[in-house]
Amino acid sequence: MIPYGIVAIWLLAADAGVLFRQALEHHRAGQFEAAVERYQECLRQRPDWFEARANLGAALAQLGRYEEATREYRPLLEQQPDNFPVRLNLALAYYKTGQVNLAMPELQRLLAAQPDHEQATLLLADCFFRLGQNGKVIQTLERLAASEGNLAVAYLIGTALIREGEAARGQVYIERIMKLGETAEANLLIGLSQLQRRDYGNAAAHILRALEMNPKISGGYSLLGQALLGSDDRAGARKSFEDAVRVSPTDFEGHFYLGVLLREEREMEGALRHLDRAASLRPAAVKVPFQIGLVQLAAGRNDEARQVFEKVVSRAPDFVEGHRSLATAYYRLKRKADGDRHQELARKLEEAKR
Amino acid sequence: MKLLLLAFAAAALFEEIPAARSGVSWKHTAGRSPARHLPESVGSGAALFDYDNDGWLDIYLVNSGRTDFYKPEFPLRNALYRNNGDGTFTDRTEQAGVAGGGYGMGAAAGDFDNDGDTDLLVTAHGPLLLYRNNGDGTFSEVAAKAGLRAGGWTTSAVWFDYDADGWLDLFVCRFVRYEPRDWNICGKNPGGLAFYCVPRRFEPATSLLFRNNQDGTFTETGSGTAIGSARGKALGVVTTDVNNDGRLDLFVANDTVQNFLFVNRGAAKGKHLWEEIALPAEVAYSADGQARSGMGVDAADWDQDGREDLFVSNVDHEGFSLYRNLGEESYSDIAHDQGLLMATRLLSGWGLKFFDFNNDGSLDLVLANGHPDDMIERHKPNVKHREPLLLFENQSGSLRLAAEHRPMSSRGLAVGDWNNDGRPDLLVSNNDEPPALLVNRAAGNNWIGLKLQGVQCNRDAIGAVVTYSAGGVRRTRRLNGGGSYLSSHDLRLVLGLGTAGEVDWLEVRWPAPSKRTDRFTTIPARRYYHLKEGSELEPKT
Repeated sequence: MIPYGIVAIWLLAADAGVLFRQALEHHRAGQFEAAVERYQECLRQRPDWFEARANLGAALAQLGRYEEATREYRPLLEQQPDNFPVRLNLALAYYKTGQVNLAMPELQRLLAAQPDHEQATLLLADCFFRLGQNGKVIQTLERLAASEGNLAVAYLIGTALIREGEAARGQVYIERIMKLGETAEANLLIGLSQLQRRDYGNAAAHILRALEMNPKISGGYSLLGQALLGSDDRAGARKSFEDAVRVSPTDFEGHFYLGVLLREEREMEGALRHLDRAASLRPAAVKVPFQIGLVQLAAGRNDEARQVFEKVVSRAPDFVEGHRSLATAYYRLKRKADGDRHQELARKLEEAKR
Repeated sequence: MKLLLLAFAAAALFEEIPAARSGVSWKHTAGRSPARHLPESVGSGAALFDYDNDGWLDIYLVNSGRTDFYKPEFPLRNALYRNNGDGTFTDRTEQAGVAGGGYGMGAAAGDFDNDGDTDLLVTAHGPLLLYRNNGDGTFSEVAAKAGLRAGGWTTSAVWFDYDADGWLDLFVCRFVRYEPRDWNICGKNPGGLAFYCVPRRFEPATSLLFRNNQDGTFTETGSGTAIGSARGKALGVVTTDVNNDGRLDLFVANDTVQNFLFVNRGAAKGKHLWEEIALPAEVAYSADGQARSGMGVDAADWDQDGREDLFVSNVDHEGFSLYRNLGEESYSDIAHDQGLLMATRLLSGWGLKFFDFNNDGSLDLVLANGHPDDMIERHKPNVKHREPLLLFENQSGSLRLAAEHRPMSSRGLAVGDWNNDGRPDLLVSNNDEPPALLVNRAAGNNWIGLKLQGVQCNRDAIGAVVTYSAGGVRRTRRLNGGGSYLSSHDLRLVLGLGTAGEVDWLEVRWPAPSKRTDRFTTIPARRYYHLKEGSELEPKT
């Protein structure tokens, strides 16, 4: 994780200066709440003090109060658009709150000016990673790929390659990580590779080992959930997905699979909660609204289901199951002609696929 | 899967009768090849029917045989075992002339010529066989003469009178196209051996509907209707009456494509109308719009709400389906609510039937299982090739796992009271294994048995509805055709009475063309009766 930086230390006269100095001392001592109080007092006296506001944002972020931090950072960037430490911190705050779509333009702007900024590169790659855009992960990290000792780079590229089905190229990065000794990242990558090959038992064992070594490793619990699901351990999978969203509230896979599992268990409201969250994390993933439509259908909310499925098939016109489910919603709403039309569309699509 | 079961063991509900005692020593041969031809994995079926009209159910078992992809080293044959009435059976295959030929699949028994002797259709990868019962212990094979031509790969079949003329018509399921150009190796398992291909790879086929011309011949009439235009991969079929209009409809389980529900809309302007409504009725796919691997089927008013429900068995990781009929030609899959979805999630189901094993009056459910791939355990450790036969008991509207029998590679299942003690027994046909003959040992409750004989309606009375009251409880049963998988059940109805000592009253609503209702009162329990349409009940000796 990229640490939140303290931007600068300025000495000022009078009370504001004293408050700022006290704030810095608290900040350095890890007493973030006290630091926040002092920065805020300081800013009441000098609202335009750039460094105090930047540091306040950093302290808030360190307390996990990311929304408040972004409110402090944004006006600063209007004053100093080229202040890259603040832009990086703003991007991090967005990233931490799962708003990767907001984090990405900040990072891209930063990288346009500083193409060699390694932290920003990694963070941007991780945003693509979270959106499931594996090709862009690989492209973003291309320049850093040669760096043999960088575990994070190897992990992200290796994972993206394996997810793209390029197992042989992914293996190169697994081996590179293995050279650094047994690490959580290496185990996770091996587990992912085995998961892709449907070797669920071995995948689960490696992912568990990764989580033992680093319980907060990104995506670890949701991968474990998928491995357990493949091994028919639905209860274990459900717990893993719950852990995934607890450890990382922005874990898309965790929310998505938990939503699907809960739907299958007929816990519709819980399913909807997680699927809505997944939809907010990856608005482009059409499988999420499809699942939301299925929840609505199962709950007998047929018109809501219809509306969702109509959007699904307009976004993904070749999605056979989407047309079938829309047809079901229409039939339930006694719109037989519409149902027949989508049933026929689904049939033709299936025939074409065959 | 956690099994909280009573095993079928000592003092169990069902007892398996070994071949040494029963005399049923025949064994199915799948002819497994290194190329793993798909037909090897799906056969075969069995029938319980009384071929010699002596009042005792006989056994018919279907075997593989010579075909384009299989040349057996030694001759294979189907088997007909005559019931000696003492718990033993004698092989009468050669005398009866029903040894089959070709790569057999299933059997469907029915009196298609209304002469009082039950005939037998055998489906196959190859030509159909129609064994006409000569009434003297022998059969004549008349498929070609009768116009029953069905190329390709036929599976389950059902005799029923769709046009209400009093003669049994025939629906024959066809599975996928499997000709030499379709023979593929679909990959190898971790042991380096070929997998059986998933049927998704193969081209679907249309099933066939044959109208009985009342002269020993048939005419294919599905073409030009919804039946002829529905390309599926049909493995199971059962008659039902979706909307209680008295016309028999068809529910067809398809493998890897949608199921079909063909509703019989009757005749108009000289043409019979069928409408396929599986998707609007919500029996076509899983809840998330996925086609499952439908194999076995049954239809029964399981919850006694006056509407017939449907059951489908699927392959592992899909779970089986129990479709509750909600009326207005729509269904809801309640397998999850009944605990069946999870209980069957790792199983691959084939033969099945709703039946009242303990004669308490409620319909229970038996499921015969087994994964089609004999090497499945090498790549799916949680899935087994041999799987247990499961019995679910209907306890006040909830299906609860009551017992299991030893794991087998089961396919067909026929239910029938072969020892005439009023308790329905089981015959399970297993792939590449001997069959299992099980006798019902459930104790206690009273019953009556009915052998219906149509006069105006088809002689087997397929489609008749029996409503009865015992101990003040009213129940209804329909005599449906087909069901299970590749198999044919006892056509007699055994009605459970619970502790009631007699039937208070009983009504039989005969199928068209008469649609007459016969009513009887105060019928003593614990015996079989013969009931001819429009006549009095006659106790059977």
